[in-house]
Amino acid sequence: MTKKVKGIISNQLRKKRFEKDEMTQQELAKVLGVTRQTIAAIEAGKYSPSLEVAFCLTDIFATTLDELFQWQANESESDKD
Amino acid sequence: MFLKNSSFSEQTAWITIAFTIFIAWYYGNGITELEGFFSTHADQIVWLWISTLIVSIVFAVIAFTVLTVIRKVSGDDDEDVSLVDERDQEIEDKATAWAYFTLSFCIMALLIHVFCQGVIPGYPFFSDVPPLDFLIHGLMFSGLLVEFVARVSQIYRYRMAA
Repeated sequence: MTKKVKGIISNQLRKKRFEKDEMTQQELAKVLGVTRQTIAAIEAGKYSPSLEVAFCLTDIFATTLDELFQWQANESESDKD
Repeated sequence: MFLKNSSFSEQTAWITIAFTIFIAWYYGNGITELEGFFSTHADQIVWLWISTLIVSIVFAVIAFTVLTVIRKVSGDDDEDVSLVDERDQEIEDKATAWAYFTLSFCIMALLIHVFCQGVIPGYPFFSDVPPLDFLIHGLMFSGLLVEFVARVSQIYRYRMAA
């Protein structure tokens, strides 16, 4: 029996930006080397960044991955072996 | 302002969509004005290709000039236009997959048509167009369709997370 795991990833990016001197999306994008639209998509939960970008974000905001990103799993089981 | 909340990659995709529609219209119009087929009037078809190429270049120059002006007016010109990040790359990869499937479908359709035209007596579709001409124009339209599908897929994904 295999488990197909799906989940919802949420994040505290917007909150962290405001805590860091109200950093703008454009400023964060420039530091990360991505477009402002990518930052907006991550904040909206519509795009999951790569591990590299995620670790860069934790570095910028001096935080941990757990604190920045939360994952809520919705587990569904299939009958396939 | 128009395109204010979009990256340069998305803006380029919009231009490419406009480009493919315009070129399809231009080339389609050119085909209706041809007086014969490739075997008898090859020069007309070659001239249609050359003029399509020239029109394409002029269109691209005008479109990107307009885009540059719009970006300057809207204050977006401080963004690095050469920046392609991981999300752009991911979206581009998915668009390429769509383009690949569309191209495969178009080539299969063209070959099946040519095959059917050769072996089925009274085949009803484009029966008055020689296979070579059908392939030439079909490949041109296939290329445009592939580009159109890829860019629509790209814009859809950009807009989903806009």
